[in-house]
Amino acid sequence: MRYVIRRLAQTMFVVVVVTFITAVALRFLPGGNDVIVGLKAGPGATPEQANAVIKELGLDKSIPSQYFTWVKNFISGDWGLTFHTNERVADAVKRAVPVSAYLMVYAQVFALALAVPTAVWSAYKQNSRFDRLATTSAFGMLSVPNFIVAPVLVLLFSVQRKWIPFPSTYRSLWDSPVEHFKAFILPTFTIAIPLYAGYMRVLRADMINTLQSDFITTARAKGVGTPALLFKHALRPSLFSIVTSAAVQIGALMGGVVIVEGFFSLNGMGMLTVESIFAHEYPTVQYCVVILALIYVFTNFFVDLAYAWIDPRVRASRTLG
Amino acid sequence: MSPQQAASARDLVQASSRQIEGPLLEVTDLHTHFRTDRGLVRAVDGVSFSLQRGRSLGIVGESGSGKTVLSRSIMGLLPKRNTERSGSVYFEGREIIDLPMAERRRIWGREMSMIFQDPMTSLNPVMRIGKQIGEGLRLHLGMSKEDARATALHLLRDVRIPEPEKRLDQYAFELSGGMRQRVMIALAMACGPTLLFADEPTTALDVTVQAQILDLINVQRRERNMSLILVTHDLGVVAGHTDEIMVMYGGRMVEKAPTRVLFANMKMPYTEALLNSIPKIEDPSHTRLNVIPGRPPDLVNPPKGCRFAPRCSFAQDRCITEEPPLMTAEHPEHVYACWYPVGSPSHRARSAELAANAGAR
Repeated sequence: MRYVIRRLAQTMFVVVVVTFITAVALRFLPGGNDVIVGLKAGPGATPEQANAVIKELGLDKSIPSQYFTWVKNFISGDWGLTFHTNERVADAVKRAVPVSAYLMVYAQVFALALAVPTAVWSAYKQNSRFDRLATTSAFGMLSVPNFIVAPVLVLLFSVQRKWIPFPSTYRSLWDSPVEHFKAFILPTFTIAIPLYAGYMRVLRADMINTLQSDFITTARAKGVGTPALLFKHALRPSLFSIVTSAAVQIGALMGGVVIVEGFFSLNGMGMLTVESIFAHEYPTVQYCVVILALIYVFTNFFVDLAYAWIDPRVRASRTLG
Repeated sequence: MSPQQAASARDLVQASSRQIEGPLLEVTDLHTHFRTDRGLVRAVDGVSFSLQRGRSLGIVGESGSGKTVLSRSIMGLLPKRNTERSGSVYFEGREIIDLPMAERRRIWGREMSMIFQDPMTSLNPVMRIGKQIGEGLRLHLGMSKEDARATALHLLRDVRIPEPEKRLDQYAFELSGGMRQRVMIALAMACGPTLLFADEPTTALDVTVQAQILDLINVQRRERNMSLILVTHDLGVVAGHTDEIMVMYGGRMVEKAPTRVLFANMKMPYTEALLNSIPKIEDPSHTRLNVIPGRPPDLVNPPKGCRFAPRCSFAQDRCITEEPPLMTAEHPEHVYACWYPVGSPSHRARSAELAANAGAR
């Protein structure tokens, strides 16, 4: 318990730092307030209009009070309007987050569900034909970039076979599940292929190490059968690297798959962030960055908890230390 | 099925009831070879012996003499890949050398089990002690979770671990080395095996707890009427703890005798050299340690004659060209493989010569 509280305190500290930097970042834009006024109120704004903009964004206040107002607005959901379209920023982000979240969850589940059994069996049957096939194909999957994989998948399943419409439109899971999955299946594959390959290789390497440990021989000498040996004894101590890399991927997938999102016209966080940057929609960029940062920070927090679950020694040493 | 067949089938099922006559374990001409890039490593090269119920046997030899491989290949624990095993291992009245994996697993833990060398690494680091001990009980004896836990507690008491209730829910890293080895013993004894292997059980432990662990193994062995095979490089360890001793060199058995007979009348110069390499308490300080010169033989190309000949101070021409067979000494259970055993005229003459040389220097 003390371990959890410590980790949580550290996490909160990072959260404060991240939000602070993003909140006051508006002050350090090239061109200063004039540019912001120009973007928001249009060229040739009157001094009154300019003052109103500056006031709205809190640029007239001291840095701490600007920060606190910003945090208050962030929590209350009052994120202001976009510069150009006068849409509420919160609405734009709210539309993008679930798209990215679905994509991330599907890709992760798919990649992990495939990688864990493959890696375990590969490690157990090291250098077997199965293992060689698995490692070589994983190497191949890692080396093909997603902007190649995506069009190939479309060619195979939408053009030649016409199984999946392209481009398909995003539908929510609850409204029409079938359309929803049709929209997500190809982008999920595209992302999951290299993910799977990475996870497979990482877990396989750790499993091979673990399977050489003395305690595995002990378990064998007890008469433990192969499935129990692999999944009850060997898998858990081998999870460190794969948990770490899967956690890093959560953040990366939420905001970093712009090419895939763009190709399949899924308007997720990655597209929103990039488009906002090009359009100089600074508040939208701010909120996207903060949300991605928070996702990173909290995944890291949960990863630390996962380490403690995986290995009791972590619990002991980190509470003492 | 005839009545006799039915009866023998029942006997097989009840093998663990331990009512079968004859020796518990009979190993005949066991070979274990490993295929490597350098060639075939003959780690165990034709070993035969038998072990009676409730008796204990010490297997002694240097590192690389094949003693660990021998114990593991009797149990069948070695990975199949790149291993060639031949010969016969007769255990509890049946041949077990080529049992299928599923049946071998039924023996492991239940009828034979093993205590390993390093208690630091031999316990699962992420599984609670109680669960590790209980696993075999649930697997082999079909115990419920609660019963397995209660039995594990019993076992921890038997191996004299302080505060056993608390240990059940602890992890290996929370225990000292000696305690971990006690846990290993509890784990190995859990299902009441008839044969217990202990592979260098005290080598990784503090000297102060070594004797305690050996005594514990022995007490438990007597109480549970287990047979014990104790593998060690230390003649001193087996001296007080086993009924018989077998000395291995280069994958072969070179001498075997009841413990008392061996120490009173050892025949192999190698056994003698092993004994002499143990420092004696009555030696004045700074006495040079007696070492056996040279290195253990290359098991890919073992020497043609006696495998110990290249390092033996007493070797003669015949030792290099002709391999000595196992010969029986005065005591009927004492066998050795040497052309010029300790106490023979030529051995005595050479001893005198060596002593004279040492004196002259």
